Amino acid sequence: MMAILRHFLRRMSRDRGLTGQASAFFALAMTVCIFAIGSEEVLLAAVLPGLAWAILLLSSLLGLGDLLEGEDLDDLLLAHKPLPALFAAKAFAHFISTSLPLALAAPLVLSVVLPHTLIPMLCLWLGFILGGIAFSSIGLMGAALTLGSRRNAALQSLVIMPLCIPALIFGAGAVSAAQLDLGWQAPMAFLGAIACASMVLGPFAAAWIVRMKVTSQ
Amino acid sequence: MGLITAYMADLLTFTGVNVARGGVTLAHNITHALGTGGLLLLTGPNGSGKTSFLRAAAGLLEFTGTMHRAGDAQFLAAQPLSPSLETPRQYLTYQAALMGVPFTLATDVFEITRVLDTPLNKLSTGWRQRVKLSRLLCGNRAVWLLDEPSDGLDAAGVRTLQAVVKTHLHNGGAAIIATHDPHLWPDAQTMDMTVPA
Repeated sequence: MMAILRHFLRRMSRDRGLTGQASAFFALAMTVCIFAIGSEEVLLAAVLPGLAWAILLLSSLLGLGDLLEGEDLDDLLLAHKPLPALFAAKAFAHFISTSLPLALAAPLVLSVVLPHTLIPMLCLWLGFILGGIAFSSIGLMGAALTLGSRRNAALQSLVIMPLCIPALIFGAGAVSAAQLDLGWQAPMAFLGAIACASMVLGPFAAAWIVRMKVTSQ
Repeated sequence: MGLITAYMADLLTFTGVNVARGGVTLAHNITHALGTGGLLLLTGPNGSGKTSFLRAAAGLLEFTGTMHRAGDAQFLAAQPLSPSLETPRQYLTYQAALMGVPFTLATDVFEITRVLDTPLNKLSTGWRQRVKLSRLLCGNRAVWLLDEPSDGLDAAGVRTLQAVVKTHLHNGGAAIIATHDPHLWPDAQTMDMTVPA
């Protein structure tokens, strides 16, 4: 399984430069937003966590358009390993190439703008990891649903956006709650539940859809 | 007698198989059995359904009728390998992992050892085809379904391919090959996929 995961990671990070794309997009979007909002610290503290979450969601949409396209789908369908396991590896590779670098870097970057906020930063860090897993797994389902349709990237965003909103709300909510010294554990638990559910169910749903689509085309 | 000298187990049988693609029936009422050592060539003009039939035999396309296949098949599509940054070693390791076997190039008949660590995008079409065909040597599946395997190969490569298929059949495997060069396998049975007018 490690060889398969490594292959997916190579394809995503090196061949398509997904990690660079996602990191650059996140950094640029955050910078532009901070300049646009201004340097008033109270305002920044109020809006930046939510903004960071929204941009995380958008950057995790990158690379979904061709997540399942290409010649290797046949190889996956005929593999010795169960298709849901291979798709789980694919979603995990997408998470590692897009959201994980952001999860590691974003709290550090934001701590420059919002100092003295350890708990919210930890919330953001943990939330980005859980949210990234949820977004990549939901994105995999979206990629499966729109497989084979033309201009599928736009359609895909439409399909998966509503499914991603709960994770976004709980994730951003946890950070805001921590900033106000309120209980952040409940929204974080919900986010964790969403991440677990989508991580487990997403690959099965995607495998079912893809097998049906490929064999009946 | 009481002694079976050659046990002809059927590895692949089709009974009244129809394959349709986009509402058009391409393979019509095909009944055929392939035992150990059996080789079937699919010929016919472009669009006559050779690839669709192979995909159906691999389990990648729906069909009507009955098909029995002993185990999973090794399917090689006609598409050339994409010229990615991956090296042949990485590609073959991945393919072997998908088949659940460790990557070992027991016999390097396609002579890819010297390009094993050269990225695929630096290799010519013919060499990428050799790398793709080397997948056949990594796996251990009894039924091979090959779509235009001789594409892009030079004369020596074609001879190697013929030898590899021959060895596979000799070892008790079976194969279906879609090809425009049926003369490469003169002893095989041929199925013309041309739709009768």
